[in-house]
Amino acid sequence: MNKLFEFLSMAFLLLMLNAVLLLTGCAVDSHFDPSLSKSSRNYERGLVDSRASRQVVVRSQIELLFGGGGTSKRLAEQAPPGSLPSLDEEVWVIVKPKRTAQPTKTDDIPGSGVLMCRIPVNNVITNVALPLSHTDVAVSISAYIASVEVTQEFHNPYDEKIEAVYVFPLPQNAAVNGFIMTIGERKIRGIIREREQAQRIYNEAKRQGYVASLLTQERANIFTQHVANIEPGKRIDVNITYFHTLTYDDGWYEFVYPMVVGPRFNPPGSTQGVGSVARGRVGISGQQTELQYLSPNERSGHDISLAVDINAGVTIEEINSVNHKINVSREMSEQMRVELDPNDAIPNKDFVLRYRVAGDQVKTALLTHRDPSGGGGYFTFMLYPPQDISNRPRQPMEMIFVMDCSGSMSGQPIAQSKDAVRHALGCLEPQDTFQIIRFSNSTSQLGRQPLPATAKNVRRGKQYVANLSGGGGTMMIKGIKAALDFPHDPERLRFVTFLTDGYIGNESEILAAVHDQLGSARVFSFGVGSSPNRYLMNRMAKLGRGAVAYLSLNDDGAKVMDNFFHRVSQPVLMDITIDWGNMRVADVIPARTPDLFVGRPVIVTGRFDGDDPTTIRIKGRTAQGIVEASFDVNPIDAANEHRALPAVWARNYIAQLVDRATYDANVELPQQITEIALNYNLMSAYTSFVAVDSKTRTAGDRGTTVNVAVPVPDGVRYDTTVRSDGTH
Amino acid sequence: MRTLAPICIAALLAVTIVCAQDDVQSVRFDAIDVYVQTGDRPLAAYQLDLSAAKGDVTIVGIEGGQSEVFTAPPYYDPAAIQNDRVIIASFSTAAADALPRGKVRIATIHVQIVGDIEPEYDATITVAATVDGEPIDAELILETGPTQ
Repeated sequence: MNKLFEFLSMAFLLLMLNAVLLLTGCAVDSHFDPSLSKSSRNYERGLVDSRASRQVVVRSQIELLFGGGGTSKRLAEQAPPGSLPSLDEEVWVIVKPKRTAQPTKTDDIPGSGVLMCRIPVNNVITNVALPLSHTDVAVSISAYIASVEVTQEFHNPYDEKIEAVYVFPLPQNAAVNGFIMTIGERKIRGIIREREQAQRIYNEAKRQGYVASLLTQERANIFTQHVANIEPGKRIDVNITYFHTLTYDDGWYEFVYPMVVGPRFNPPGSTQGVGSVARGRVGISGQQTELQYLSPNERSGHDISLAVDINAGVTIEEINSVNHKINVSREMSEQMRVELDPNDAIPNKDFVLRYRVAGDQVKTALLTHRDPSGGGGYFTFMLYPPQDISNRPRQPMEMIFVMDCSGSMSGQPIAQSKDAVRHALGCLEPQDTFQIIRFSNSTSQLGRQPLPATAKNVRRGKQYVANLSGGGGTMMIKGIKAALDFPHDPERLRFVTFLTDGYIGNESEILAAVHDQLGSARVFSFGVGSSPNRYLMNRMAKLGRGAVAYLSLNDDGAKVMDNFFHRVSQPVLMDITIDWGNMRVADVIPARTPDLFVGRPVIVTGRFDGDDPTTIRIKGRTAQGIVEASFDVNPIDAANEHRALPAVWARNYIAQLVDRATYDANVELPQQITEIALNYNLMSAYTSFVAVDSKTRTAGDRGTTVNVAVPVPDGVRYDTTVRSDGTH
Repeated sequence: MRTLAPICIAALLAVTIVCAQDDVQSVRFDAIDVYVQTGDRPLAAYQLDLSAAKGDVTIVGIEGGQSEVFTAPPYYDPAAIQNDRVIIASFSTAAADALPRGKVRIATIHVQIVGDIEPEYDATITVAATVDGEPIDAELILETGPTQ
């Protein structure tokens, strides 16, 4: 009797605990499927909180209530080591067969349905089977707006159904507003939902065996694709559409399609970053988002096809691809088709296409789109600077070079960076001053304060740069503080130039620091390498009221820096204001117009009302004083209808809100971002696309999650950037 | 006291289980096939407005129709979809003899249903027209089918 009383008392205590957990939404689900055994019901269908302590409590409940933890204990041991389910994520019991989840045949035999590739390394063949077989990118460019369709082909090479998870990049200013899941001949358009709601829908559909897909945003330029219940041998395609504006630089338009996310450094103690781990090492980084990388002797077989149709509106004089081989066909002087060469289809470097248009034909231009429901529309205004102002005197500069010397920069990236800075030092004039700061795990600098750009000091600076090398972590925040947190010389323009690949996971902290400590300085960012973090580069330049440039592995560092330096050292106009005349404008982005540099137009977007032609007046400051310019425009020019403009404006508006969130703790900002994203059908950090095929329910309630591993970017060392040993 | 304690514990156990079951609602998925009966008139364009009049329904996908001209999944009104109201439209510029007629499936709406209340839908074809823009007096038919 005493023992019975003890047992009942213990049960009572556990029930009380269960009641508490129920109230907090973390208890084991009691909506049972009577066809399952009790232990597997509770373990398989429960919603488990991600915190380890609650997992332990739930397991203990199971073990105590159902007579010892034999079954559930075995099931728990089979869970991937170190894997922690995220909040509201269902725990799937992965009952592994005798063999691991690999194809039954190890040879690449036609008809096996397994994508593998043989890489002989020291006579060792390494085959890797992954569920992403191909990505197709179709681009249409009109004026300076690109419309892009990305089709990801997922298939299941295994003998049991799977969930495929793929982390991939898109341009940081992409307005993602379309999502279609294709199963055979059937196409299902996904619905934009609040992120948590979309996740719940997807989880439930996955649990019940339906084919479903979910697209989430981890950063402005990093997304995760989930596709659930892909049956053996079956294929499911996911099509994503987005719009974005091109960059224009000194006569050249540039279109970029990023292909791989570079391995990120996350400061010690962070968990909200982007982890970089070896293939199969799930969860060892401890980061919220995690990428798996193929080792250098592995190849997945995933390849990419890409085609760009350009309608520039003006004659295209020259075109080239920075990192890839391309095939070009010209239809008219203003139209061209560019295709990625099939022999250069490994997705391990950004596709960067540059084309030059006839310089004297490019003018300041207004593009508009009228809202079909009436009541105004959307516009973008591109302000072009004069082509050359080198004959004008310039103000002395205080040039601060901040050089990333972390492990990911070692090798060719830092060599490029050093070439660029050495060349820039040679461009300084005697009235300028300069400082060189290096950062990796810590920072150090050339001198205690900026040095006058005398010949002797410039030689000293070049020698300092020549001795730099890559290694260690990426504590960029220390570099920012060292560059901005010292007294500013009021007689000089302070220009801070960062040279980095941007492979960090704490972008928000960096951007907040730039905003908080900028003062009257200007920040210029140089993205170095084959796949730099363009989101960070562009945002630093934007918040820093400067400009961005990119230095790929195939670029001439000295030449790129030469163009960049001569442009930024002499702004055409600073502190710009715009009078829109008869156009009644609202929600103009950016709220504060950036400085205008030679060869780099300023693009402003917003909403407008008004039908009448008008004169737009620009006013700004130069070294010689205040100057003004005016432009006659007709906002209701039917030839200028661009259906992408509403999405482009909304995306820019969201970006502005996100930027504000890095330094403004306004609790309403997430809700504002969510409302805009939902109203314009846009992806954001708070909204996701979800699609469920409710007509087809796959057999079984178990599945294996397979993460699509990717190659490290071209030129990046795997051994210094990817974690494989489980240590932090 | 020792006799009373187990009874209290058992009662608490029963109450807890019942409360837990009440808090967890059933979730299922379904598909609504939307048909338009045009008679012998060729259908070139349509606009559909559909929402749930009864039940807890969330739209989770919009699929294109059966005919080649309506295979592409139509765009939806983003503001309306947040209230789980589907407003979709599609049109084709194909020749009349290539257009579907009779009972035509124009779209399939995939939904998630929470709870045990059987949904009821309000649906209206606000536009149905031929290639010449002539309106069609079309009948709207909704069918929900079993999962394959």
